[in-house]
Amino acid sequence: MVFALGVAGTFALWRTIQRWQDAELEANAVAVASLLAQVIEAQIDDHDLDALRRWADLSERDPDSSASWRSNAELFLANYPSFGAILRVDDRGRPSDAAGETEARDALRGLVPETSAHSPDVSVGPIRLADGRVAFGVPIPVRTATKEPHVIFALLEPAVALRRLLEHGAAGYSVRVLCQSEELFRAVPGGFEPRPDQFWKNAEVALRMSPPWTVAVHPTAMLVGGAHQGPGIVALIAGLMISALVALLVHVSRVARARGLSLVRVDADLRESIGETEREETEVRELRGTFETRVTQRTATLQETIGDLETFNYSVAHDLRSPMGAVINFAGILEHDYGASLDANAREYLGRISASAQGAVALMNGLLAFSNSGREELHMRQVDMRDLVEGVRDDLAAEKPDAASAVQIGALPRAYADSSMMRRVFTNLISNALKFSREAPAQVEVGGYAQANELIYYVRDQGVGFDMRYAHKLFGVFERLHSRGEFEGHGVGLAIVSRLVRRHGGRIWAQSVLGKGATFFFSLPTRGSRDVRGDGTTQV
Amino acid sequence: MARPKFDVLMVEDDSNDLLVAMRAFRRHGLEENVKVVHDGAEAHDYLLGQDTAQNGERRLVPRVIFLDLKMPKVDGLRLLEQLRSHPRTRAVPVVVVTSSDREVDVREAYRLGANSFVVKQFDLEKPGEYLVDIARYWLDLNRAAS
Repeated sequence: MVFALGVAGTFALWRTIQRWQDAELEANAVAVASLLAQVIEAQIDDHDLDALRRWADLSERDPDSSASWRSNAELFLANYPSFGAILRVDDRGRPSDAAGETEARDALRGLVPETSAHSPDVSVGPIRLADGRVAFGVPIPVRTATKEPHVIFALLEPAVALRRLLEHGAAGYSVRVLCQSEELFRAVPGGFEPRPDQFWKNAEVALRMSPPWTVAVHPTAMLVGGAHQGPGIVALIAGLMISALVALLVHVSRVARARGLSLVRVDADLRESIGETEREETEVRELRGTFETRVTQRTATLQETIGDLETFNYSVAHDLRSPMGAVINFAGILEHDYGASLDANAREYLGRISASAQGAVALMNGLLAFSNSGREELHMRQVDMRDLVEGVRDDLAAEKPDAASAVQIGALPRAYADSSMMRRVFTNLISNALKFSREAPAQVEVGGYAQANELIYYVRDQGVGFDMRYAHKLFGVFERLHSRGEFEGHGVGLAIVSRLVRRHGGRIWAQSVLGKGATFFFSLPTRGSRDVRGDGTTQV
Repeated sequence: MARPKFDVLMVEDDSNDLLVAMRAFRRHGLEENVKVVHDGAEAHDYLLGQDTAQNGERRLVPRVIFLDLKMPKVDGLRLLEQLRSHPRTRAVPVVVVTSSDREVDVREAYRLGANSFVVKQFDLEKPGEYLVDIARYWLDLNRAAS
């Protein structure tokens, strides 16, 4: 009768739980969970187990008793449909009818937390207690004054109860432990896979493995139908109780989850564990906060430094340009107004002064242009690239009449870009191509095509080319792959092109065979695949 | 054609640039038509200062103003703003002549009412003569509001 009282007690509690308002449920969940755990412990106490077994042996010989248990079980299930739902679901046993199975699964599905709504299993995870023991628990969302709602594990004692059951040989129901839907342990009627000692060893391992973990407790439908050995009845009772507890905690979890609150603590061990976890989490959060603050600060400092360097670069170029310009002007005046009274040597020196100053000013102009290319705002719009390149060719032809016939313009897809910057990009690439084409007539081909999420444009020449070993130096500021004596220039043009392309979220690269021409490619993201920022970086 | 005095008011603080500019104007016989002030404050005082017996000549409004941007005291853009808000100088063409080629300066100058924006030129062959060309355009070709 001990177990009968246990069952009655469990069901009385369950009925009470059913009646609870949510607020009461939150307040009482701790006490009830703890009480239920004690009831289960008591039910499967060794002494009681023997008594149960003896009683079962007797009742088996008494068909009336068996029928009575069966009718009682059915009565319970009829009165407590959610229990029925849990009990009827079985992945191995046969449910009483197909419709019932669906109904049962649906009912159970309603009980489980949203996160595992696709499965009737209850998600739990192994946790280590303060004394080093490992236990499984049901996740309960909690909220404290200092933290966002989060999840802790609250089901402890049932794990102990479960172990007892498993150690005594599970019957009439199955327990499956899964990690990422792979079954690691399974307790089935008449046996356990792997052995119980292995189970707890594995639980230790499980603790170190990544979630999600799932424990599925499935009392079989056959149990409900009766006609079982004594231990099966014990298992039925224990299964009911475990189911009750799981159902309770799932329900609490669901309610709490819906309301985003409630703190469930089962015992001092767990409280301590939670305390430690909370402390650790707080520490981790503080560390993360500190880290993030530091990253933010460093980034700000770095951006400030980059800004300072840009400003410095600009001011140096700008401020030196005026005095250098004055040198040019006065050298010019000197030559113009007093040239006649200078001898050949003096005129030679004056010429050198002028040439150097002019070189310096050209260099500074390049630097200013480079600096500006990073400062200007992007004005994005649809650009007819063919139109734009034809314009560039015509402009170049005004200075170099050969350009008109040398530049062949192929298909060029429209782009979403800053047209003024694109004009500079093509002007630079095409005039480079003409510059490095020594043999007349020059042949320069401009084309483009779409590819995946980007548009690719290229400028190809048949000129002197470059050694691919130095390709990485092409787009640096003041990098030159040819001496100034061979080709004029200051090594800023491609750096500007590269920066303008990158500001569009694109890439630039080049291919060449020395002496056989070069092809410069750049890409622009298609409109849907970009997030262009004004600071030279791009988020995709 | 005899020109009235002070056709061009040149607001420039850089003595090198002034020397080169005045040489160019002199070579083209325009020296007399150019009045020089050395910063924004002086320009403001000259153009918009109080009328007194001593500064009666200041009532003469130039036909074009060459305005440097980077100057001590009152800078070029601030002066431009003042000129455009005063009825006496509201319609006078202002040519910004500066060493800055920053887009932000260009945009701001036009926003505040500049009529032209020129980056200072350094020329070995004909130093400063671009200013003569600009002056000729505004004095001979441009038709200003009366």
